[in-house]
Amino acid sequence: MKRFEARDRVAAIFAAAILFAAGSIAWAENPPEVVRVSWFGAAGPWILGKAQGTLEQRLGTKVRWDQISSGGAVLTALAANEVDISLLGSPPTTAGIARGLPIEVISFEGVIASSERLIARPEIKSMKDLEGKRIAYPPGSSSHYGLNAALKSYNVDASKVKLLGLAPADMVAAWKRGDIDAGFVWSPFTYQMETDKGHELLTMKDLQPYGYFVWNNYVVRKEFADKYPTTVVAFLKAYQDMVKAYRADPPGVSRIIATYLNQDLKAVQDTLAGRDYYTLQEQLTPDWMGSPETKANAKMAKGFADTAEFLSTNGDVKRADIPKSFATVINPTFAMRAVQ
Amino acid sequence: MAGDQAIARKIELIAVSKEFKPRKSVPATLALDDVSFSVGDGEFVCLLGPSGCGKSTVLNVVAGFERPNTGEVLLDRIPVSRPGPDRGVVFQEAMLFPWLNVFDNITFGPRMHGTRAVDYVPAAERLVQRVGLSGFERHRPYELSGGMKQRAALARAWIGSPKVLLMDEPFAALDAQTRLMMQEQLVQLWEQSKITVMFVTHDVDEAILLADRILVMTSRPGRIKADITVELERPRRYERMISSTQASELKRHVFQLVREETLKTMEVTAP
Amino acid sequence: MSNTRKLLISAVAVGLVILLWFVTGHYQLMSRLLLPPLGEIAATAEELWTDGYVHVPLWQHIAMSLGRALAAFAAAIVSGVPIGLLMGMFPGVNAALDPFVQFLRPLPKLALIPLIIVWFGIGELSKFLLIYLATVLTIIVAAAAAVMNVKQGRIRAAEALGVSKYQLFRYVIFPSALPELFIGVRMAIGIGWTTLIAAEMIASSSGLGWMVINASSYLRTDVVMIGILLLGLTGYALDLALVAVQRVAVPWMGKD
Repeated sequence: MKRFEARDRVAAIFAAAILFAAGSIAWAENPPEVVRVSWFGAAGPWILGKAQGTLEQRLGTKVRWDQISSGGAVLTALAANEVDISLLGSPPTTAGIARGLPIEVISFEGVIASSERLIARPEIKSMKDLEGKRIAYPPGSSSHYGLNAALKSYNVDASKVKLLGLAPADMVAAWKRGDIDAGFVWSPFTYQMETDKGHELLTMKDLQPYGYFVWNNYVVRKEFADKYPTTVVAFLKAYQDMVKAYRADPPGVSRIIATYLNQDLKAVQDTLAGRDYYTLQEQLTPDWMGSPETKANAKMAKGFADTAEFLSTNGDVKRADIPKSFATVINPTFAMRAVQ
Repeated sequence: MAGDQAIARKIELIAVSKEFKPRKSVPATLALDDVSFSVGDGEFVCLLGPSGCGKSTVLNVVAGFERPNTGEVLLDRIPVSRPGPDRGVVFQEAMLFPWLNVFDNITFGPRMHGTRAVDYVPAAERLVQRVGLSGFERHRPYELSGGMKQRAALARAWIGSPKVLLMDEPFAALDAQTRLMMQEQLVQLWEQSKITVMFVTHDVDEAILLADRILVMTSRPGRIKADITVELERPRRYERMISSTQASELKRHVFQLVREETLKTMEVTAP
Repeated sequence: MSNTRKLLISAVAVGLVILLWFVTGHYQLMSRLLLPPLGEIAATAEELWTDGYVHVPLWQHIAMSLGRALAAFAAAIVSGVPIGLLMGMFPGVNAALDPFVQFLRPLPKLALIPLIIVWFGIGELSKFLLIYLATVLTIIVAAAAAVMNVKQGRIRAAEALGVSKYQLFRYVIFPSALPELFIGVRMAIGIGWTTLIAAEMIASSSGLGWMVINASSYLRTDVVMIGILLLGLTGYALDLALVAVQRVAVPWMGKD
C-alpha cells in the first residue's frame, strides 16, 4: 500500500471522528487549561494523537506530554500531582492502588502479549541458562513483574540470578557494554538489544498459561476525573478512534508513528501488534473491565487481585495494603459515556 | 657605644636595614633603618620601644627568621643565615607542642638531632628542676598555666646549650604578678649561667629590672635612639628597685625617651 | 546550661515531633501515601526485621552499603590525605592540582553518574568511584588547608630548635594539622555517606540506598522512611566511631 493512500485513510477516519465529536458532545464543564499526560516513549495506537496533534483537538485544550521512563516513576509523578492521565502497566497500577494512590482505572489500553519481552545473549538458550547471569529490569514496571513471574514459572533459582534495576535507556547502554546478559523491557529498547546480538527468550504472552495476565491501562487522578469528566470521556473516545484507525491500516499507522518517534519501523510494527486491543464496548463486558454492576467479578478486578497477590510474595506490595476488592478504583462510567 | 670594647662581641648588627612588602599592591614599609649595635658575651641586653618600632624584627633577623635587605648580622663573628639551636628563641606565646608532654617538649631539640637518651635525659631533668617544673614532666601543655608554659619554653630553648637566648616579649601575655615572678626567676637563672640574652620588651620596668644595657628604638623605621647602661647593682630584686632613687631616675629618663617615640607613632606632638 | 537540661530539651523536642506524627496518623490528617502513620511504620519495620526486604535480610542490606562506603572511605583517606598534605606543603603541587579539585568538588555527584557508567560500567567499581570521588575531594581540600593553617610561630619554634625539612613536616606540621584534618575527614565521610544513595542507583540489587529506591518505585513510603532512618543512624554511628578515634589520636583538640 502506498503511503499516500494510507495517510488518506487515517485522515478520513479522523475527520469523521472530529465532526462526530464536535456535533454530538456539548461540554458539560470548562476543560482544564492543560491536560498533563504521561507516556513511556513507546509506540501505541494512541501515539497517533501525539504525532498528529489530534488529541489536543479532541480534548479542546492543550496537552502536555511527559515522557517518564517506567511505571515506578509514573506512580511517583501521580502521587506528586505532576500528571493527570497516565498509561500504566497493571503491576504498577496494582502497587499504586494498594498504597492508596488517588487514581481511577478508566479502561484497558491493551493486553500485553509480545510488546514486552525478555531479550538474552545468544549463549542463553533456555530460562534455566539464566542462572548465574545478570538480568536487567526497569524498577516498578510491568516488565519487572513479568521477569519475576517468568523466573517463578520456569523454576529458575532466583538466588542464583543477579537482578539489576535499570531504566530502559541505561539498560541498552549496559547491554552494549556487555555489563548485562539479559533484559526484560519494551520496545524500542528490546529491538535495540536484538539487533546487537540479542535474541528473544520469552514474551509476556508466554506467561499467560501460567496464570499471569498483564495489561496496560489508562489511569486518571481521581481529583481530575471528578472535576473534568467530559475531558476524560473525550480522551477515551479519542483513544477508541485511534485503535480503530490502527486496525484499519496497521502498516500505515505504524509508519506514521515510526517516523514521528524516529524509531525503527519493524520495531514499531511489532510493538503495535504486540498488544491485544479491545473496543470500549467489549471492555464493558465482564470478560474485561465490566460495567458498574459487573466490575467486581470481571477479569480486570480479578487480574488486579492476582497481581497484588504475586507482588506481595516478593515483598514489593505489603500484604496488609491489598484491598478486599479492587472494584472501587475501577470506574467504567466514562467508558459508558464514551460509547453512547 | 658603651660596653663593647673589652668584652668579646657575641652578637653584632652592622648597618642592618629591613623592608617589608607583603603584596604587590601595597607600598614597601621600612622596618629597620641602618641599625648597628653589638651585644657582649654574657650581656643581658633589652630592646625597648613602642609597638611597631621594629624591635621584634631585630630579634627575628638575629634568630634567622628574616634576612636583612642590607647589612650584616654576626654571631661570634660568623654571619647568621638560618634559624638554629645555637640561638634559642622564646616567643610571646610559648608555642609548645600540644601533642607532647612537658618533658618531650623540652627534649624535642636533642631528640631531633639524634642525641642518645642517656645524654639528654639528665640535662633535661636538671633543667626541669631549675625552671621549677618538677612534678609536671608528664603534663600536657594545655594543662599548664601561662607562666608554667613559658618556663617550659625556656627550658626547651635552653637545653641545646645555645650561645645566645633570644626572647620576644615572653612575659607580655602574663598577669602582673606572674610576670614579676617570671622576671625574677629569669634574672636568677641568668645570674647563674651568664648566657648572652637579647630580650625584646615594651615595658620599661621590665627592662630596668633585667638588663645590663637598654637599647631604646625609635618609631618606624626603627633605629637605635639610645644605648643606656643600667648601672644598678646586681642581684636585682623588685623590692630593692621600688625603693631605689637611682632606679627611679633611670626609669624616668628611659620612659621619657620611649614616650617621645610612642607619641610619634600616634602622630601627636608633645606638649 | 547543664548537660542534663540540654538532654531534657532534646528529648522533649523529639517527643513532640513523634507525638505530632502519631496524631496526624491517628486522625488521618494527611494522606497515608505521603506520611505513613507511626503504627504502619512500626509494622513494616517488624516485617523488614523478620523477613528482610525482597528476601534479603536487613542486616545484609546494611552490610552491603557499609562495605561499599567503607572501602571507598579507606581509599579516599589513604590517597587524599597525602595528596592534600603535599598540596599544602608545596605551592607547585597546589598550583598543578588545585584547578581540578576546585572544579570537581562542587559538581553534584549525581550528574557524574551517566559519565561514570559509560566509562566504568554498572558494577561495583562505578559505585566505589562515585563515593570515592565525593569523599576524596573534601579530604584533599581539608588536608591542604590544615597544613597551610599551621601557625607560623610553631614552625619557627621548631626551626629555632634545629630540624631538617623532613623532621619539620613529620614531627611538627603533621601533628599540628591533625585536628583540622580530622574535622575534614569527618565532614568528607558525612558527604560520602550521603552519596551512597546516588551510588546505589547504579543498578544494584542490595544495599540500603537500593532499598530506598526500589521501594519508592512501588510507592512504599513506609519502607523508604525506614531506609532513610537506617541510613541516618548508620551515618551517625560512623561519625561517632570517628569521634572516638579522634579523642584518642588528638587529645588536645580544641584546647590549644
